[in-house]
Amino acid sequence: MTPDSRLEDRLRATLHRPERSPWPDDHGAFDQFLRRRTRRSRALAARGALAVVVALALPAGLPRLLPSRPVAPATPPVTGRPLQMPAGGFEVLVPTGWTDLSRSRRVITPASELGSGVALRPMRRAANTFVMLHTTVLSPAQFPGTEPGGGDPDPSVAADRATERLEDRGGPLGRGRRPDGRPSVWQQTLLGRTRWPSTRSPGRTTAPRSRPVRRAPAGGP
Amino acid sequence: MTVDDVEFREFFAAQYARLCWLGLLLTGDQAEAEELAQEALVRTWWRWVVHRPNDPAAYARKVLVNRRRSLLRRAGVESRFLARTRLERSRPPGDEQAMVLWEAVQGLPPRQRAVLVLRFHEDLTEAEVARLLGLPLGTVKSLAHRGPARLRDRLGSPELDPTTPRREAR
Repeated sequence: MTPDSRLEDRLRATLHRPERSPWPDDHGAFDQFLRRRTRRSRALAARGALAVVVALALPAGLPRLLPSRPVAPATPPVTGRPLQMPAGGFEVLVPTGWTDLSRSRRVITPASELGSGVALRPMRRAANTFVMLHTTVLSPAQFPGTEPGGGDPDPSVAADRATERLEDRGGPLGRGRRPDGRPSVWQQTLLGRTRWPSTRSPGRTTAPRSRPVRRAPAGGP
Repeated sequence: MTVDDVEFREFFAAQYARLCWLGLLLTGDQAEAEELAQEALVRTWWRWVVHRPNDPAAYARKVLVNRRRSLLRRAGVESRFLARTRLERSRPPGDEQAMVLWEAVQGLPPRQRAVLVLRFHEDLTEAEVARLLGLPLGTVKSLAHRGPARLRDRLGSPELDPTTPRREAR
């Protein structure tokens, strides 16, 4: 007999349940089993009932859990009359309570530098409070992605880009919303410069295929 | 009491002690073994109500082994700590050699112990043990080989050798 088989035999003998096992077939164990089975049945029934209640209550209660008031947009919608600037190639919504200074006097100076634009101010006059919008014409070399010495970019593509890439040089207050989240108070001149797919001289009409840039100043006094 | 209840009661009477013993071999603790056996029988009864298993005894054994594994997983650190600090372990009646071997088996890691118990107490093949424990066959073979080797080492050590006089506890 090898040592391995001896050990296995000893293991079998040791692990074998002896006659005087600690668990005689008593009735107490079965009673305990019945109690445990009843507890388990009740727990399962309660869990099922809870699932049914949740399933029924969820469609009714979910709308109440959601916020009832619609969340205010970050930039309030601007209502007003549209003001077209064909020479500048854009259109702007003059917000209610604002007026464009061009009705009284021209403020776009010098025209050779700024091109055609519009200046807006609140009707309730405040000192030096106005917003100036204008377009300017850049040389093709200033277009991003334009190869030196290449021709003008495709006007339609560049016009689309122009609507999306208004360069803001007015500082943080010129974005229509202050850093603290409140609407800007328009106390700073907003100087926007759009890339334009044309090398035409300032003041002349834009390329016929390009779409006008539509900008609406956000916020209010 | 329905016919099923009578039948299940007979099954209970036949299997309870056997399951308790299997639980004792796996845990080394009598109360834990009874808990495992009861839980296994309750789950077997639920299965019995829905659809009677082909071999209810094997099903109950499987439930017990799986329950033991999940409890070990759930509170691995705690159970290891308790196993280390438990002073009173249940011991089977027998001679001193059997007691030493029993202690050595109880000192094995849970997986090695489970493999040995299922191999030498339940007389399952290695493939059946692998299926029951959810382990690869190679792992079970390795555990079945390393378990006895470890037992031999421990039995050969002076601490577990029955012929060596034990040091008195402080």
